[in-house]
Amino acid sequence: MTEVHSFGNLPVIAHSWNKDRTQIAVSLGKNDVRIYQKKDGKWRLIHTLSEHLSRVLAIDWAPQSNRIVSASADYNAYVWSFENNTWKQQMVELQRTSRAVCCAKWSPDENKFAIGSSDKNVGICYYETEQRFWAAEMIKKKPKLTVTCIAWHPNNQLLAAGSCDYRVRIYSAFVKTVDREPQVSSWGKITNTGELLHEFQSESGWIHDLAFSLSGDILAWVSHNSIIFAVSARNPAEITMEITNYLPFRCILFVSESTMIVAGHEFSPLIYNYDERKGTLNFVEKLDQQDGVVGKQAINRLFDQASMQTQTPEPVSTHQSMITQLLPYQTEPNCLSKISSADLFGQVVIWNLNGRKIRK
Amino acid sequence: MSNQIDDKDDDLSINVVEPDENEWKKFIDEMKYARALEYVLQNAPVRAKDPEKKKKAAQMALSTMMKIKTSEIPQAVNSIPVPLRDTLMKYIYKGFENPKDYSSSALLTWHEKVLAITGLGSIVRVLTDRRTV
Repeated sequence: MTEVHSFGNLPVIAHSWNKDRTQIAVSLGKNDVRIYQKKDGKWRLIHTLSEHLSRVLAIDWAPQSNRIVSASADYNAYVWSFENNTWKQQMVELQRTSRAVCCAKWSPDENKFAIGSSDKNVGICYYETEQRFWAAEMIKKKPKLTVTCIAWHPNNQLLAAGSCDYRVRIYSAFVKTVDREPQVSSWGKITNTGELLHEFQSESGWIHDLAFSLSGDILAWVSHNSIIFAVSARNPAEITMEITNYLPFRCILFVSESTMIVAGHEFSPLIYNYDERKGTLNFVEKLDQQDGVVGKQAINRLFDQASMQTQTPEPVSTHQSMITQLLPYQTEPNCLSKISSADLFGQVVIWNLNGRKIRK
Repeated sequence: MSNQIDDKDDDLSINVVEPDENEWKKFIDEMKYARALEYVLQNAPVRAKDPEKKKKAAQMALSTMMKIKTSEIPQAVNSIPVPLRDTLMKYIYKGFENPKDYSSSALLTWHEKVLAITGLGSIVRVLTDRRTV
């Protein structure tokens, strides 16, 4: 049911799949991006993309155009494309970035990508065909602290950014040279690049991740105070919040229009349902049915190696460390049927969502 | 580059409330300790800048908690509305700061009972929330 893949014992900071899911790009907390290919049931390292000078913090593999964007703590981002059996990098002109680039994501149409950095910049990057380089348009109304996460609206022209200043902002990411016409969106009128459309204040606690629902009408985010927030485009003034009993969540992913999965310091991903009419977020179930004692195994692993060997093993959760990232793995119309999650002990787990209580 | 969030447009600085001592005394005199605690939590000066205000409210909250018998703690915790339980946890941690004034063993019982209901989430929120008590 769940497939567990291991890439050694280094942390998987970021991972991303290629189009047919035969290859995976991972950042193992080092300066390079490693691409593994599955052959005869085993993962073999086939490419190492080493150009970054510091830890790679984000990877995103565009499935259709087959390009990888990588962002690193060395203030740079690269776009890699596959030519003549090698991955060639192109630098992105992020002139004003003077701190780590924390996140990078391709837009749904793959004609541009967005980055967020520690020096409070959000940039929308696109290929300058005449001068042949990746240009970045920086947003002027910047967040006030590190941009930790970004998410694209499915219409390709809106961008949401979460930051350590406890706020989530929705920007217009319309770029004249690549998007011909500004579209009508449910979140407001899209005009110039970087126009601030909405700003949502979280209670307290920096934002770890945010996600749009599949239609893009609902935005949800998780912050370090173990609270899940959701807001609908139909009523942006009302933010729904669920104060949870769990450890903080690091990532969030919508699997259908109203069902989301959150994961983080709690080792099992959790399913939550957003009821827009009632304005509630309801806990549905844990994704990991083998309910281990949270944290206990990790502590044993650190301090008590001997007792781990002598005692009868307790039920072990699939992930035994913090979950760093959730990604869609297999999609069906109107929902996701499989998702993947990565953790700090080098594991990537593929979860089958068939038979789970997911509202379509 | 400053790493401080500028508080000017932050609504943390407005809406300052504080518990009224006479109101609180009334509940205490009527022996409605759980109600008194709820009253203080509801009006906790979390947005106040003045440390004296916070100190006074903390004293009210913690002295009320000390008055509640160990056997009645679970009942009292249950009677506190869900959104205020995080504030209660904040006062428990505040109490640990002054072991001379407030008995830590009583506070540990409180901690245990609140944790049973709110889970680890409330401890995380005590650590991350800027609206301190």
